[in-house]
Amino acid sequence: MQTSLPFKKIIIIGGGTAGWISACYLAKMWQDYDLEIKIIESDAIGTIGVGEGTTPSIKGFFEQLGIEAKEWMPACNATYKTGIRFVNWSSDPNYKSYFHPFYSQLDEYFQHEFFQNIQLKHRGFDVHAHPDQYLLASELAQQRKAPIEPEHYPFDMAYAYHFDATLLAQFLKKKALQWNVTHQVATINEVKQKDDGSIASVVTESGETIEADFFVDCSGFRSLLLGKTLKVPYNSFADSLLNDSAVTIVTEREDTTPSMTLSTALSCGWAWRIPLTNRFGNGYVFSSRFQSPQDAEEEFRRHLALPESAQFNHLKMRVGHFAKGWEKNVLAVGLSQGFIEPLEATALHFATQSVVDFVSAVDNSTDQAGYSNQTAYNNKLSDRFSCVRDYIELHYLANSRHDTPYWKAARSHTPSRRLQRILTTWHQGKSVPRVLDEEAVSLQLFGHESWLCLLAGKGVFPESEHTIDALPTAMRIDMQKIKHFVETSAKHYPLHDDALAALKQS
Amino acid sequence: MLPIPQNITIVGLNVHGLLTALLLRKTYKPAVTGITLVGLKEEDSPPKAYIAGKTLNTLLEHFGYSEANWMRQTQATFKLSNRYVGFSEQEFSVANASEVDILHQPLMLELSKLKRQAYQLDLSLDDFFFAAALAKRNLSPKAQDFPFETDYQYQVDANCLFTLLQKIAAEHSITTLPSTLETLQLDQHGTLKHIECEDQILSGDYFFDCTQSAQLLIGNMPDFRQETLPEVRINDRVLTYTLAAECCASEVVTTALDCGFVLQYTLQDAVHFQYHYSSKFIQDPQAVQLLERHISQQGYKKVLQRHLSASQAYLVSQPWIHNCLAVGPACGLTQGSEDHELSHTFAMLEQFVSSIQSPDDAKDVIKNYNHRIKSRFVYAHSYHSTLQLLNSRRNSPYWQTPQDANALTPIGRSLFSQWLSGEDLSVEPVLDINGLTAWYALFSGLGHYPTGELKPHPKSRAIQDNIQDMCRKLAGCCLNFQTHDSLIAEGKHHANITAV
Repeated sequence: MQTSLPFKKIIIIGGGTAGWISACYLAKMWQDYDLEIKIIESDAIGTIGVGEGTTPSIKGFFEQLGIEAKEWMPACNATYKTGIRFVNWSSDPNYKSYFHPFYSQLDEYFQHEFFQNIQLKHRGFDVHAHPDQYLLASELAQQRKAPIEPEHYPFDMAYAYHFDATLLAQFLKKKALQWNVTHQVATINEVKQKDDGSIASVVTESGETIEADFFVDCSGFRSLLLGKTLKVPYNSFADSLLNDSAVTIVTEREDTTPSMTLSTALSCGWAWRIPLTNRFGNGYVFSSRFQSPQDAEEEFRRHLALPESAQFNHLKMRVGHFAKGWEKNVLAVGLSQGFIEPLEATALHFATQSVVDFVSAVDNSTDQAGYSNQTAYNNKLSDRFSCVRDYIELHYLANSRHDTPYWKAARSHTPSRRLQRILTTWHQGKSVPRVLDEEAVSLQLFGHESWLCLLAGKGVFPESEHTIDALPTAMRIDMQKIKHFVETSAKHYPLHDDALAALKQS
Repeated sequence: MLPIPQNITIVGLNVHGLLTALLLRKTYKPAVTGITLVGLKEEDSPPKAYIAGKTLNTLLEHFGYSEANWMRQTQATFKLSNRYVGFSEQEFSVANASEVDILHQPLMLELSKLKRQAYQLDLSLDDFFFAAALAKRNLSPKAQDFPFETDYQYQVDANCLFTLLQKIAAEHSITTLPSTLETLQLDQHGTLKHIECEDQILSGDYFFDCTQSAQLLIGNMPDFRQETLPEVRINDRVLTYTLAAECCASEVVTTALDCGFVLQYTLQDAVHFQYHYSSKFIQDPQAVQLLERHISQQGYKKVLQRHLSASQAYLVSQPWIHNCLAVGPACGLTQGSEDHELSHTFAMLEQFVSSIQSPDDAKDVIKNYNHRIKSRFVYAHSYHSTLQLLNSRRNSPYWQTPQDANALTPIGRSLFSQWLSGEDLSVEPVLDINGLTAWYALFSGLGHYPTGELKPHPKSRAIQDNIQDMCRKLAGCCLNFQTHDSLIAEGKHHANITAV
């Protein structure tokens, strides 16, 4: 354990969401040390503002920073997120859509029944194995309710948020400055290295040399320090994840605010719809191998029923990650470290977990320099990337659309060994949770339920051969009881708009 | 295969006789099956309270009496838990099962195991049972829009229940003969041919003996044998006091006194104290003094009734012999610190009806019935005798009887051994009697954890936080429930409006 911090000065390159997340967390966690943290932000290079959707880990991140929801949520036009509804990913009319929830304690109550029916469905019984009816979050989303636990119904709810990433960066900037982080607007022209290859300093366009003993690279896809300077190899996921482009636009809000993200499969990718308190964020992620940006924009315009005059933004994405997130005296956070398409809103999860794990690695380092856990950190990060990649990839492998070459190509490549094992286990009707445990996948972001929801929700089952009447009575699940339980539970939760209004008032 | 009953004769005009008649009437229509109930009502019936399960409600609803209605007529209240006081240093509850408990049962199992492994943990299993949390707040088991079911029972006034059942029997083709049994006639195979009651001969294809400890039918059947249930401390006396009470608790309280224990039932306007004690250790006048002091300490003053009776634990070897079945106390009586008398009766009759439907050979069906019914009694007795044997009181000769785990019944011994060796408890529970969690509550409540040097647990802070979080959740869930007093008052109000 460190009794003093091995760094005296940390420079953060880049003032986007990842930069300010890093600044806040380092400043808060190491507030008792003699540490100078400076963030250098260029006014010439714009930020992408990644991540309007998040995963539940962001909640714990804010808690660690000591920032309450009532403080940051209204400032960032934030809404609650119960999960993601996937629409049109399957050609089976019984599986036109399904909900990937953030799991709640109450979902444990009928977990066994859900798992049992999945097994029976694999054995050819026509039982109810679609996940939606088992899950509270799905019902809350359906009723546009907020997933926050009431005092009289105090069961643990996992939930996340949608927010305006640019506003969040501004909010965190204010916090970081309050916590003694210094801010300098400058464009970096040169990076100087020491003999051992580590970074010695950065030189600004005005010629100022800024030294530090540690650097956090939040320079976005440029990856100025980790990629360009230290030349850490890059692992591309382009072979398994086809999408490399996105077209985005904001649209007006509806009368009431949904509490979920919508992900709708289109001809050559999928479109997100993220509700904020003042608007919707919309994007179409597609593969430029199968669709030109112009065609994508046109299809997306039709999908959103927008007029010809609507102005879209176009983005290019590099999907994959650097082999190491922490090399020498550089930690990369955010896009500079890697990126997986935003299908499961994992970008900010990677950013926050990277900095959280880094602080833990340094705090628990057994050497004075703070680097004893560096290899373990990098291995964990790589594993996180590959697990999330597998999960995202499964969305495509499990699709059953036949309407375009894109969807056929999306499921025609060879998955990783681990993903192949999971799929084989599923098709054999054996225990996927056991395999996930053996492969240590369940230690990562997506637990057993997520994998089962995906496969069951997309209807990856053999044809039913037996009616439910062929089952012994004891094995028939009373779906009415489950429906009643979920609907009655949902009554206890506030309407999403009421919860947001209460937050604003408080 | 056994024949469907066409002519049933029940002997014993009491709650068990009437329940037998009505439960059989519910199954067998009057056009097919005649039911005759013979007996004279006991004069000056002693005050008594029963614990009844939901099967009583199902029966009475079948005959058109809503829960609120029959509860009002029988002075009934709800029961969510049984709280044991004075059996060990800490009082503890054995709560009814609740679906809420499922969510934190893994934590309860894990922590009780850690504590048995000599880890220093501040642990009370009461915290893990939702029904106990409701009872401690004097809440009812009723809530709106709360989808978790919590099992509950009723505390019922025996005499009021008798009156109601008698009324229902009269309305539903039960022939009642106010007469006493004089003789009975068996055929050469030992089958009961008919009984004679004051010049009337009553035949039947099935005879039910509901004559309680008199056992007028079953006691005269060939092969009749009675077993005594092993008791370390044989309580042979029951002293009952009924007092006026204004508020009603949704729990039964069992308090260990010097030479026995007191069961405290709460009815709508009264409270019953039943002191079960051993005359070997205390004389009746001293028992009266002791109980009156206990009652006074509880704050009750206005005595309505009191009664002293004898009591003895027993069990017939074969509750069903040929065409004669013993039901209720005629079959057996356990000196339970919890009352299972009515639940045994319901179980016997349900088992009888299911036996009639069985395609198996009659001999096997009867053998199976006898085995199941006896198992119920033995299971209930095992729980009670374990409580008595493993208590930690030392303040009177009655309680100073050596505590010997070898004296436990085989069920109690097996479970206690599992407990001491830190295993998960495993037993085939009898559905409507204490389940596994009740055994955890019992061993834990009696304080059977390692003593001496305890190990600090490396995650003790996190464990205590978890327990605190669980208590917060249970307290939050309690907010959905109506208070017991207000629900009972609502029932009274509703009954008054209906009467008007």
